[in-house]
Amino acid sequence: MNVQFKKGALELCVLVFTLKKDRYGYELVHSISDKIQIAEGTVYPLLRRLTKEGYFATYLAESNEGPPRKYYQLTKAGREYLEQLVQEWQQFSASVNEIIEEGMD
Amino acid sequence: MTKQQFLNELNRLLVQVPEGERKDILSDYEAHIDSAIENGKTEEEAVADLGSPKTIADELDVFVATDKLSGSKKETTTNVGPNIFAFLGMLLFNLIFIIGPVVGVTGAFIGLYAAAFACLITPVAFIINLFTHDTPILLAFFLILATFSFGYLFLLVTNFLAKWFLKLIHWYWKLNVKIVKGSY
Repeated sequence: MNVQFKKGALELCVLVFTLKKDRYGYELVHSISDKIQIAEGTVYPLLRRLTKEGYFATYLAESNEGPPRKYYQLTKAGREYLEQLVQEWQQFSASVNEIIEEGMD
Repeated sequence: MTKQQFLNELNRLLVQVPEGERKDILSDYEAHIDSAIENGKTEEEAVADLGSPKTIADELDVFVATDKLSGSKKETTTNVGPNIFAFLGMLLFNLIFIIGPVVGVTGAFIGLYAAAFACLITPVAFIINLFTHDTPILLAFFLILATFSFGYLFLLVTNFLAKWFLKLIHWYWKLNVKIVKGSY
């Protein structure tokens, strides 16, 4: 798949996964790589950027196994950004689908 | 690749990232690999699924670079393009005052290296001498030890100085670029 395209979609997925529940890094990355083929390591730079831009807040919480985990929590700005991305995505994918349907007739 | 190899490689690629942030980045990956192993992957698999350290470093670099870009844009919006007068001025200054000493010092370093090398190979002569003449073996041994040690120390010192010299040149070059670009 086209790399830039995948990056945009990845950003959307990461934000969606944190909407209902705070997630820790591995959990987040794993839930994506389960469905989409990616180099798992490239998700962390994305998380870092989204955090820097204020869409995520992070905190450490104890875990049952091993050391404390870093959790990602969607901020208010993150929620708004996600809504905007989802809307753009839906418009975009609807248009692409339309084009495909017309073209493949 | 093992976890440690992966982390070392990534650490090496991120030298320009400030220490605190670099450690934070590395700890993210360390935690990820540990979790993956807990969930039944082998260390090798866990590392392989991350992708290459190079890809990750590139990805991180993009953000670092764009951060810098947007920062410097704010500072130098009034400055359009490199300054041609600064460039010509620096060129003239460098031709007159800098080129000579730099060439001279570089020559001196070549000389120093040659001398160090000569000291290092002197023991060979002593060893040959041992076979062709009746030199007392103890004397030859100490001479070999002395010249070789001296040559080695000489080489270390020269290397050290050369490194500083290169750093100085690098710094001076960057200064030149900055002046010409007009951020000074």
